Amino acid sequence: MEKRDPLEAILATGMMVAFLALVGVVMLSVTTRFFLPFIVFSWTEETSRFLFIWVVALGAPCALKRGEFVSVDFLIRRFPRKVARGLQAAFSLVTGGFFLAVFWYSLQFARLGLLQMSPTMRIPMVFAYASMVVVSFFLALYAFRQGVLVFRKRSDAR
Amino acid sequence: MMALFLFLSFVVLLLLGFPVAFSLGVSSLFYLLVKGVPLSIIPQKMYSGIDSFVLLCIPAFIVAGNLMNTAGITRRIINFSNAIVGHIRGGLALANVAASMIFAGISGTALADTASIGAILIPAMKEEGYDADFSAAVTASSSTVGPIIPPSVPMIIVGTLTGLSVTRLFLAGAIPGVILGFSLMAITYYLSVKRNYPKEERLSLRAVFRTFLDASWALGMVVLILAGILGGIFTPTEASVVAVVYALLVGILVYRELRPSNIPRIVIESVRMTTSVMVLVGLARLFAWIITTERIPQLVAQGILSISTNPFVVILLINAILLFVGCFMETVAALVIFVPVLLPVAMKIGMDPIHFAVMVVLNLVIGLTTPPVGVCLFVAANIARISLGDLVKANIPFLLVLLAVLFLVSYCPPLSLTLPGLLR
Repeated sequence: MEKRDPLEAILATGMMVAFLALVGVVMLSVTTRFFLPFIVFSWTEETSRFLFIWVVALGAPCALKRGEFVSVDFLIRRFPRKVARGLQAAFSLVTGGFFLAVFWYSLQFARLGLLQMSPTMRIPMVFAYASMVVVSFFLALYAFRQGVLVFRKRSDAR
Repeated sequence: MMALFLFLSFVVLLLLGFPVAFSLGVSSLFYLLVKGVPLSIIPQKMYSGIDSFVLLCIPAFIVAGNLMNTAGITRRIINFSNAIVGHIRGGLALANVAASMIFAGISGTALADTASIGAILIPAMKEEGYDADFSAAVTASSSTVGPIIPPSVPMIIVGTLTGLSVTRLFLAGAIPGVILGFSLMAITYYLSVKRNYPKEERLSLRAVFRTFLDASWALGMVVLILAGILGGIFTPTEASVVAVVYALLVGILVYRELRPSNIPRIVIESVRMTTSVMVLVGLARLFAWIITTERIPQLVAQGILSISTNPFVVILLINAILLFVGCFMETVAALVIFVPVLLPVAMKIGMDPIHFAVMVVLNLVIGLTTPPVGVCLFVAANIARISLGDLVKANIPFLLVLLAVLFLVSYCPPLSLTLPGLLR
């Protein structure tokens, strides 16, 4: 049933690479502090924060696809199945709409980053802010996809 | 008025089963639209909520824990605990609690603890003649030490919310966590004697030493994390990353149970799960911003302080609110909403914020073992193949112990404040 999803594979791989790079950067700052105390890297903290924000941006859409966002479901489990499924479809669409709006405003937010420079590395903040554009776009995409899937399943059942 | 609308829409969405993160986002969106606040505030607040050097230790601790778990460390920790306490009446049950305490020094969540220790010990306990509901109750309730003994995911969240030092918060949880563990051992022992549960054979000193050696690399990770952070050698973030590298090295080179081909899958699954928590934290920053502009914390403070200004009563009220919330809400979500709201009240009656933090986390962790929403109960009942109702009943004595420890921690600040006070 579960088809291979190349988009998810790309996002998840990107997330893993960013995470491993983050591990590498933090390890570099720890080891140099211990063994080469005369070398001080000032860029490691900022870099790891940038990488972390990208880890989240690339990973969250995959988490949405896998249904890993926590919810309180003790009430909905008592609902009739049809109602629960209708709610689920409606919620997916609301989530999609929400992140579509966030996407639009993230573009503005990222544009602010064109002129702003990061405090230590002096690179344009747009490289970090763009993560919000990416995460909201793909969250919206996967939310809509989920909504469509739920709808389709219902029509199949009839 | 608008604030009430914000809360109502949030609670309704939440109870209808909408994910917590999106309930926060969508109810905030309603508010912003009605108030006419420019929506560009959403990505801005979300970004600033996630952009934190401290938060990034959450995925790293989870990855390290899962790598170690795959490398067979849980089994070794259990064997070692069993070698030490197994010969006492109710040995396996006591070993369950002891293993939870050791495991707590590696993992930062209670759920990881229930799932990994429960998967091994619940079937083993049933086989030895322990009642299934008792086995599940011991597992679920003892896993609450996980987020109290450092490292602790909830404490990291509190640190990012309040700006308190995560190192100090970790230190603050150490003594209460150990007290919690030993109290649970006491009730376990009492019940085991009463019900005449079995004990294990006493091992020779040499055999005990052998299990210690076998577990030593796992125990080394506990020492690395705790001594590293608490001794001021690493920041919590650095410690979490060092733990990932340590887990990789031990898993591949020493225990040789971690196959390199499995590593990408473990990393992806563990990190992916935490990214959903980060989106929650980001959107909670937006929600919290609205709460602050609406001056909700002041209103709540006024409300509570109008009932009483007696610190004893106020602390009791805060505990009651948090226990109630903990029954329904997932820990991180409850923290991001209630810490900013309740902290001013606690400060007004002269509570130390660090003491407050330990109390809050303990309250919410207890909520993991209470119905209707107690994830540790769900997992334990599932492993033991018993109904939730039976488990809830069997868990009552343990719950009472947890509440007694909560009472102690609430009204005895030195338990939380002595260790952080030593740090200068």
